[in-house]
Amino acid sequence: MSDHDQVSAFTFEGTWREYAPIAFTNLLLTIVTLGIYRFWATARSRRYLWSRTRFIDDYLEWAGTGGELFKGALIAVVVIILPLYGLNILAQHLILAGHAGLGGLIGFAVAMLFYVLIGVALFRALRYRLARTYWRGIRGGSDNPGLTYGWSYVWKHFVGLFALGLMMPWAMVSLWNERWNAMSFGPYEFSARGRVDGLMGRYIMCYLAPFVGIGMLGLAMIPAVMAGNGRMAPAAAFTVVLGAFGVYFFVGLVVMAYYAKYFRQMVEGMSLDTLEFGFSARTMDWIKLYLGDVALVVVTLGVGAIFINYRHWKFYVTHMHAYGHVDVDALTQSATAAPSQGEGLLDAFDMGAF
Amino acid sequence: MSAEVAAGELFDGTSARRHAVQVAAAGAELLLAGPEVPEERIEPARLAFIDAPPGALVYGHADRPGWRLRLFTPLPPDVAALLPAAARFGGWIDRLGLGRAALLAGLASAAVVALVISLPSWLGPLVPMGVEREIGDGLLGDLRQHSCSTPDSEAALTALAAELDPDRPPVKVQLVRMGLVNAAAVPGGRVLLFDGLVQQAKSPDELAGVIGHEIGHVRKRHVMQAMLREFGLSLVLRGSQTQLAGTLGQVAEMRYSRGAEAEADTFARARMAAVDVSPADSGAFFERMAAKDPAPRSGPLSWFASHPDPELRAGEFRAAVQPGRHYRPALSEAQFGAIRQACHDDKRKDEGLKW
Ligand SMILES: [Zn+2]
Repeated sequence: MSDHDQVSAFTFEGTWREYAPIAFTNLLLTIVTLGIYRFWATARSRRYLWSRTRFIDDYLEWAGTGGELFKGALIAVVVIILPLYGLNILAQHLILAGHAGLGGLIGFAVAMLFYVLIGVALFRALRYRLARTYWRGIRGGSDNPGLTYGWSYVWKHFVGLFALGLMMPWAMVSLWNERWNAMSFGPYEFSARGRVDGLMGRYIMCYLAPFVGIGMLGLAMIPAVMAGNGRMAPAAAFTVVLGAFGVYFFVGLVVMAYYAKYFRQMVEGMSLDTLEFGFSARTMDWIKLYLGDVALVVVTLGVGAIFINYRHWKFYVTHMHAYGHVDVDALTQSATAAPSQGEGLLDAFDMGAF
Repeated sequence: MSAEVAAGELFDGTSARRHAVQVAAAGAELLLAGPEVPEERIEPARLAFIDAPPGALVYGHADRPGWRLRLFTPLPPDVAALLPAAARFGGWIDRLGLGRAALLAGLASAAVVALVISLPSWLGPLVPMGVEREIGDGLLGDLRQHSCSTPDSEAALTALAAELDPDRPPVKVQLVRMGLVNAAAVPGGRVLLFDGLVQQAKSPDELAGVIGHEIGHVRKRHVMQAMLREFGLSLVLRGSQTQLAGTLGQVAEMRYSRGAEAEADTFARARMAAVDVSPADSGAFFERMAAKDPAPRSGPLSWFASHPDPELRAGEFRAAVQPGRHYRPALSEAQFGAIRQACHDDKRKDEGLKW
């Protein structure tokens, strides 16, 4: 059986009414267990979101468990966070005791290692999520442990700082491609060929935005200050506060414009066997997503935060597209190793996967 | 008879092909069959509940990764009876029910929090006095350059402390050149008496009350408890005396629990009674303190204040006076005078402790 040229292969069929009981009971259980339930809460929330996500004619399935997330977090704390913390204390003691050279060296090594581990964590989180995502009984994964990616994460970001940071788009694109090129679904490897072309304009705008914004604010203030004879009238002060918010919003807008194009371009550069991918969210969609988050949290006095996962997942799914066809007989089971524990490192660092 | 059959779909975990299947109950086993799959009997114990999307139930198989059986609801009762139960929250929460599980977990968490909060109270007395002494010396040093001491004042304070507290090793009472109207029990079994309080005291009995109270903190191990509560292990680990004034400031401002303060008061009154010193003047002393600072520590709110209500304390000390009993002064006029004069007579070059 084949499904030809589905335009919107991804659809989200969840409703917030169905999700609310999950979100609220998760909140309750997380509170009464002093936060320990949050691993199981994450698994429960994902199981719902995945199960209401349709790809072509069948639903995704989240097969991860709270127990493995808990185990992963525990391992990350014992094997990585505590030793690094210990080394850091040692470095401080050495510096205080007058061994500045040795202490500084250890401190630098710890900082580098930490940075490498952030890269490894991001890689492994993606790997874990693919390995736990099933569609028609088939899952994804990777056999790459992500250590090389960890080093790339450090040196590519370092290179990204060259030329006053103008290499950063290259670093982001290159890391995205490296990460996804190591992933697979079923028997097929992902191919990520995202390009930097076309991103530089918006990136330079991000660079200039704070200066432009503050400059414009300054210009706008001149008449207000002059009218007040060098002192600021209350109305003028109000204008300044409003203006500061304006600058903040303006900078956010410009950064969002860059990120929207970056994300679109990265997804469009991806393919899996005969499938090509696309992402249709434009800058305004991202802005609406984040303003919606803020409004939701503010209006509900914070409780709405438990719906943010839902909103974001829905956002990604509804804007994600796939073109091509899937040969279900050729889509055989992944041969990659199944993970034994969850995204522990990532949980410890508290990061997202994309 | 013909058994009812459940309709469903099967993914075998090897390819993404979907197979139409039918499942029927066959004794204690499930009979699975379909046009594209070989008929097989499945042991229900090998099945694992995965999910319950609208209109269906999804099961996996313990030995077959990716194997998924999706059965459309409603199911025939005999098939449903063989299938594993649906899980919602996971493990023991499903077994107990959400309400009871949340209640139990809440109680357990409250117990854990209570344990952690009360940890210093029962851990404090377990720390050997020798360790506390080392920590105290490490933190504060011997403080000799900040204290006022003449041979007469030393003798008077040692005598008063020995009388109030015959325990060994003796608690050292040190007079500190500071205007603060206060006294403090510090780590290592020492009591600091600030000159401000001495100058304010109207009789030796008042000093006896205050010193007795602080010795009470030492003997009841409140100092270690408070240190553990306020600084945790960081204090024990920090060790060396980095900034004496800052550390001393922190230690002097250490708060004891209301219960600890009452315990120290009780200790002081008992010791004073044992050596025939009247608690009356101490009562008056607390009354004067209350008059200086009347508002914040009165009424029902005083329960939450870190220091006991001075009026209440004054009352308790006055009530401890036994009518008709013959009391003697805690110190002779000469001894009291020596203590009051110590900071004036001790001419060592020190302008006092800078906080
Ligand atoms: Zn006290």
